[in-house]
Amino acid sequence: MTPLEFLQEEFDNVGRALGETLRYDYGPERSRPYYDECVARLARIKTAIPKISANQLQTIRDRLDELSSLATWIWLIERSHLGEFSWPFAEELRDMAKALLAEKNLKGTAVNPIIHIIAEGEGYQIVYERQVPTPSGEHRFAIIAFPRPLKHHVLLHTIFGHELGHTALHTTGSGGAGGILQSRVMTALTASGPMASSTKMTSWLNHASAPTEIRSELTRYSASSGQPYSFENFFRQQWLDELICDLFGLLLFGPGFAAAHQALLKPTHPNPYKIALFAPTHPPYAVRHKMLVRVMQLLGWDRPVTNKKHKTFHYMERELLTYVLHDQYTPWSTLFTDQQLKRAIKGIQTVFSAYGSLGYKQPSADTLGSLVERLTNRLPPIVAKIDSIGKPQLTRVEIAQTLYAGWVYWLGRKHLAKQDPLSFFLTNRLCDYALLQQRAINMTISWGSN
Amino acid sequence: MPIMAAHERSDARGAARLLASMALDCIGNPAIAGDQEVALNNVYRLLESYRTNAFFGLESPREQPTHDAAEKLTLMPPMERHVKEVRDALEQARAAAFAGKSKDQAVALIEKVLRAVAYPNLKDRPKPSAQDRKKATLFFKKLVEQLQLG
Repeated sequence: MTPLEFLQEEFDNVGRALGETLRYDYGPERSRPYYDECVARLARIKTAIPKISANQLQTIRDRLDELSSLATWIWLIERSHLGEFSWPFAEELRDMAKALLAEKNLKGTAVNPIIHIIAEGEGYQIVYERQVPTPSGEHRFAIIAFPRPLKHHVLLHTIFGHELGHTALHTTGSGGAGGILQSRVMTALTASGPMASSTKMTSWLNHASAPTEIRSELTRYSASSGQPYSFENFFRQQWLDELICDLFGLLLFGPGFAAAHQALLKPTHPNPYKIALFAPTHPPYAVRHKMLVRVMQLLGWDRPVTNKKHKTFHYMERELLTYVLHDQYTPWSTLFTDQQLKRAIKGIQTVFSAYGSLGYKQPSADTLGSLVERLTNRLPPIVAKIDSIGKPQLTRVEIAQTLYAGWVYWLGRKHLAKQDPLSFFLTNRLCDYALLQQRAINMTISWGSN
Repeated sequence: MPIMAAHERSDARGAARLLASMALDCIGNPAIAGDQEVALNNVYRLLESYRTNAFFGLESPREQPTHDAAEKLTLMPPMERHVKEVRDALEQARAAAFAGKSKDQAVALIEKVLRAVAYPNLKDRPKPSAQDRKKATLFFKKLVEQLQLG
């Protein structure tokens, strides 16, 4: 078999796989655009193959690689079975991603991404297309992967705000959100201070105020490598990426993001100052936490929306804020000035307003009270009032507000008069149901206003 | 151990070379460009990433940690490789075709040529000159040369 014959064979194989894999609908009316894009890519590769001669070995290899990439996208759809992740949360995320990841083509026409959702054995992630695109793709795929074990844990799913930030940051085509994020937010965070350059990062690490954990790590590095540590630019960019995405997640989902961030990351960082100097891909947990706390303070989210007249709910909300805002880390962990953070916040808010009115808005005290009260009664947290003639009063509640109420309930449950509170799992399940019901409520409100 | 080395797959240089070759063909023979609209838009994506994405082609100076068995079994796309080489090739092609011009100026001119080739009937857009086409052609020729793989 010649390489060209093998290419033709591979083409036929991928075509067969496409036919077999996508015969079924993997979500309500959702797999059609995905299928169409795969078919179109395959058709474009088909027109290219007859133009390749047997001695163009590099081109044959490049087209094989392109087929392999397409095959991976086709197989990924098999992972998406409804029921393995929170469908209502996924739908909310899909709407956000669609708005944030749109691009414009050469003609100036908007090209929407195709968002697909799967459950995986690994952690939260969003898989996006390659940096160097293959010739055949028109719409870009973005695969949102939920961790299968956390199927119903919608309170933790707010961490997707961080992952969505990564994808948005790299959407740099004309009109892409990444253009604004890179030009405004990155510029703000590197204007001064340690993140301004690799040299400044090295100085910051070696500063006299650095905690003993850092000094010990630097000493161990010098002893094993025979030279003092020097922070590399690649890792400075990685840190910026991570920190911008933490900010992005916080501004998208509010304090619920900060709670999930702490719940997921703190247990895996017994040493909050750990950097892993040989490949420091992520900032130490202490740095990330301190930044989130400061941003919450700058936005006024450190103050409860309830007050003493809301009694129990007020005490419960204060418990959440105490948990999220507790910061025992050294001042050395502060990388940015308030001015830098304010400019970065403004940059992200610009993206949110330009791409679909996104971003966390605090609930009113009454709304929060109603939502938490529903949870205390073991009901999904929606605002479901019925007037004197029996007509339901429909109220739109943002997803981040529902999840905020979930965290308030869970972290403040010790203030409940009735003991035997819901477990974390059941709190999540009720919030998951609430997102489903809220989706129906929002649709009804939208239909009514049309 | 897999039968193929990891670096045999997801080689960004291959995709970039295909894109550059297709752009070159379309500029040389605009009559075929109508069928290559999607490929030309992907050339545009590549150029925009090169122009505006600070993370484009940023690669770790250290070897990436190997993935464990469970990670290999997942169907996530393999990690894209050699993007840095693509960025370097773009730099060299730009230096050859647009000496003294900024990255923004060079990319804007190439995109003007691509737009005119992909959408010849588009109104209210500046038309590229013969000189512009010549420069864009030189850019893609140099890019293909730089991306010849061993």
